[in-house]
Amino acid sequence: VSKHKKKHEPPQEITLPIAPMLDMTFQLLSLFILTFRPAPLEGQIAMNLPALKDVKSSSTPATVDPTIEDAAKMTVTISEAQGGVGALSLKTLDKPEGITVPDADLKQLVKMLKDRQQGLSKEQMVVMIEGGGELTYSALMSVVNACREAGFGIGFNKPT
Amino acid sequence: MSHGGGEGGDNEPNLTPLLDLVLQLVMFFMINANFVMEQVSKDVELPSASMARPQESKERESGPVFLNIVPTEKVPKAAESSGDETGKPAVTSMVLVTGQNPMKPAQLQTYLKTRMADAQRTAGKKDVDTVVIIRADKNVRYKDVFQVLSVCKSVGFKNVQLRALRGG
Repeated sequence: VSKHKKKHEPPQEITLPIAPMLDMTFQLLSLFILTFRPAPLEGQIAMNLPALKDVKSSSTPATVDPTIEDAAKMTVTISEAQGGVGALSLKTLDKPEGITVPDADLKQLVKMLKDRQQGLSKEQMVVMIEGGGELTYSALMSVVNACREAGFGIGFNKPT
Repeated sequence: MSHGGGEGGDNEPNLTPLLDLVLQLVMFFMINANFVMEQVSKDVELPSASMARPQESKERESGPVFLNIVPTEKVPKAAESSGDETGKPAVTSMVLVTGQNPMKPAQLQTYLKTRMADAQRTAGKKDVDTVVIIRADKNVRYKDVFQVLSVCKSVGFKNVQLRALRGG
């Protein structure tokens, strides 16, 4: 009898209470909006360090980079001035005393490096960077950036 | 839900499209939220470099090693204890690694050796391809960055990345 009764009952209207769900969703949304901080665009400058077997016994190796034996022996010397770049010079095999970069201008350095690219193999496209220990990392990075712009790999000499 | 409003009927607004929209916004923020900001330190102010390349997505055997180098002034406890008799700070930079106490660049070797041993265990017979990511503050000194690079080299890490802000 009860089964028969149920059959004739009008279907119950199910209403889903959306308002509380919306409340919660708004709370979540406000949390995410308030805590949202887009990450700064970080990039990388990759370096390959020599294999362990190539590391000399010295506790502080003089250079940090591969293929320096094959490199064109070019060195960018940074003269530090109050942590920044005071003067720049480019030492090459034919000019071991160094060529001064006019006004320590990084664009000039890029041009000078690009002029010396011809005839170099990929392994020789490495510039060593040397400078004073008190040089700031931002100043160092500006020179690293210029060398990379000219298409060269970089290595670091022991700080003077 | 509302079934059209007759006189005296329930005049409920239709909330479904609003809910859809809000859920989409929530999803957007969830996806873009940086729950784990890698192992980076917020104290590091990176220098800019226009030639910095986008971060690589290559999968490696073991996760990267993050080394955050900050000036000693940014690590209050370290700044107190790092002065010598003359009051001049003897240590100019500290290396911050997630889950570790701030380290002087010279103390880094022990930690890196442990990470290298872990990486070698993971790699088995293959070469260790772990990347060391150096995030140095723009005000740290070249000598400190060089010291960290030297320690990485002496421990045997081959792949090193210098992080910088792209552009500028």
